[in-house]
Amino acid sequence: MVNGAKSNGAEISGIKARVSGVNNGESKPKTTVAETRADGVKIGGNDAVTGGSKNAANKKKINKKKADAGFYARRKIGYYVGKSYVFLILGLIYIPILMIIVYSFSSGRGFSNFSFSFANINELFTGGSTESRRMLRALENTLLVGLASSVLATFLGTLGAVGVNSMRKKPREFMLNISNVPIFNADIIIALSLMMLFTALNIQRSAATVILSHAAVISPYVLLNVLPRLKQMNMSVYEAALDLGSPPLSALVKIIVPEILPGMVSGFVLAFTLSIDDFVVTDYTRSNSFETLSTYIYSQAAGKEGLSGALKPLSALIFLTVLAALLVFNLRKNSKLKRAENK
Amino acid sequence: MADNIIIELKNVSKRFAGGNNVVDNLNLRIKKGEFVTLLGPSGCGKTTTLRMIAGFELPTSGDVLLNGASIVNTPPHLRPVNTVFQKYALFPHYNVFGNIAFGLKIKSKRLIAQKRAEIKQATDKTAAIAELKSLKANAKNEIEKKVKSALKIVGLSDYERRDVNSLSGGQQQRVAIARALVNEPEVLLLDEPLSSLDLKLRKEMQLELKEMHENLGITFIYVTHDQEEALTMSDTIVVMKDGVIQQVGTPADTYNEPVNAFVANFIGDSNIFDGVMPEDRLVVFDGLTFECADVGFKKNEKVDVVLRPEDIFITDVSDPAAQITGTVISSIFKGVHYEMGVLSENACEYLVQNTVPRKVGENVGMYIRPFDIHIMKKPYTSNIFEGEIAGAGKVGFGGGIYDASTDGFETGEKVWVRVPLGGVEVVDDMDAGVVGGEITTILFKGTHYHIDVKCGNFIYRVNTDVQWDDYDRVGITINPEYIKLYKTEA
Repeated sequence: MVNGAKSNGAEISGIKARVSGVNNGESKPKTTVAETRADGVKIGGNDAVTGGSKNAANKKKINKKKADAGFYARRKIGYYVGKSYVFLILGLIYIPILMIIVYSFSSGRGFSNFSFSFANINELFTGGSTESRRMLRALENTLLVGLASSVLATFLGTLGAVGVNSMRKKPREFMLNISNVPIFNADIIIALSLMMLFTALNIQRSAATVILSHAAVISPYVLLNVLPRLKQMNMSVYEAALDLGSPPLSALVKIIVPEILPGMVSGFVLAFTLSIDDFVVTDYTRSNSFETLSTYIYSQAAGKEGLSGALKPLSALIFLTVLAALLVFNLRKNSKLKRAENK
Repeated sequence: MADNIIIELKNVSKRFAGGNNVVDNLNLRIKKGEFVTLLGPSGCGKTTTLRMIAGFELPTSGDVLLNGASIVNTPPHLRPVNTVFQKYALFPHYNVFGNIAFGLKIKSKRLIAQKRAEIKQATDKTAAIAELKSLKANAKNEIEKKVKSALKIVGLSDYERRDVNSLSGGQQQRVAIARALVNEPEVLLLDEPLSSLDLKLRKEMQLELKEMHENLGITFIYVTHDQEEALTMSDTIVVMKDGVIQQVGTPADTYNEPVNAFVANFIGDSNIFDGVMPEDRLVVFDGLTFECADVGFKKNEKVDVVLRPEDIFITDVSDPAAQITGTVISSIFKGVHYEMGVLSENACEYLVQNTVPRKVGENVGMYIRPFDIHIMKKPYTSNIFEGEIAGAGKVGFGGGIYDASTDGFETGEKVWVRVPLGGVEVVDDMDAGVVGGEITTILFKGTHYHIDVKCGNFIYRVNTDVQWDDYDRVGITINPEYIKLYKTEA
């Protein structure tokens, strides 16, 4: 018993010593060398000395740098330039958005003379005027095209990724390059060529042509999102499913899809935002009666009357929705990471 | 054909796009219930052979038969064979039960679909519908029962609900084995299933697998590069090299009666020396004459001599039984025995295992019992190539054009070219040689190394004093005086 107690005591003091050493180390790192020596760690006494001299040498270097006044001046300038650049950019992006949010609560179309009123918001939600009805219709169309085309693109892009992944190196690189062309190519050229294709095939332009065109433009992004997932997958898992009697297509759905689902989801989200954003391809492949938000706003801005007042609260709402989604997504990711760490 | 042959490979070759034959005209018959191991170094085609039986690779030519019927065009999911993969290949999003039940669920779904189709055809529908109902009701219980018993076989009872990612390597491997066994395949294919386990666990699993094989009576086809594993587990070992079967036999046969130097070197430790048989039951190597048990060689035929290190006995120099004398040059403790290198008076290096250690530098005597000396026919004694005279003093063969004396031959004439093993020179720089290639085989012959250099489609066989490494890229040159040309008619 006595022995046990003694050894416990020794251990505790040992831990204490270590803890104190760490504390010292954190507060003033230069003293750690001396501290460990004081703790009675005799091994490497010489090391400690050489370590000290090294520290001294480092100090000298720092002093030299200090002597070079220009160095610090330059660093300071860089610091301020960099910081002001960041704020400038943020300001340029966020001030207009803030204005839109603020002026959602003002009457009138423009940004002059702030006078507080819910008129614009009222118009948006009650849909009194034909113009606001047209706008809501455009919003509906935007969401419809976005959802339909990104579902289609996710399907196509995933199949493409599976196909490309199973190819040998040379054809794989060739196929990847071909798939990447729409990403690098100018939108206007794709839009024009799609329009010409539909005309040549005598296809009436409509919502369907817009959806198909969007799907064609955004599937390469899905492919690029899914492919890394496939690459890091152990493909013998797929062979194992075949081996256990699963036909190839069912093995793909049951075994590969669950593994690459995160890539498919992020590809879908990206495709959706790209589709909602798009103006050029939409404008060239739509019928005159079919409007999305981007084409509607464009035609408004170009028109005599200018932008509808209800557009401000609508823009503000879209922005806030995206912001909320982003926040929720990041918070969930963080809590997931924390849970993983706790495991 | 005998009834008890379950798998037969007939003239099977496999060539991948733009490469050489990975498997070259392979013929193999596997008996029902046998434990067959395909053994060979990496790249010898053993895994490709297994994958052709599983259906993941199509043979370029030849036929794969199961119970006498060709399955070469049957896709893998319809073959009654199951595979245990090298890296387990468990389904990460299923738990242990889900993994093992995967194949059973597919089978039961298929049965139910079949029954449904029968109902449509049947005249008495009520009976058929009742059958379908009982089939459906039983399916779940049946699957659960089978999974439980499979888990029992691999020693993982009550692990059904565990996440497969939380299991250790050994446990994952057991799940993979259970997942394959539960389908009651006619043949179980195992592709280096133990290679990622540590040594102790591997030995344990080897014995367990062997026991499973004995209890279940299923045919096992096992692929490994570990000769010890092959010797421990198999009924039959198939030794492969460069896509070609070298020897098929029991573990004891392949160890005691290797057909060539490659097999002798690959299976177990061995001393392989160049020797000559002056007459039956007499062999000369290391400058000394020994009695042996082998007969049926030509007079003074060149042979390969194999001595297992545990068959060489060490005594004192003064012992009258000592046939060879030499100096110990190395001694390493290996647990059960010491492994010693002994350099004989004629500068030949022997590998000897003995429980009694000798000091390095000590002079010792050695003797070998006649029946422990194993004599093998040499597969070749020189390099023979088909060639063509490329011009005065130039001859083309083996993928290159060499200087040689071409007296008596005309340009464009086809010739046989013979180069002795010692006449080929290997140089470090691949581009400095007439042709360049890769070293595929290295054999230590006591006094020198024997290496095979693969240059495209040609193999140069070389005796050299220099120690090279496997897969070294080297160049080949030949001194003109070693190149002998022969008329093709001769």
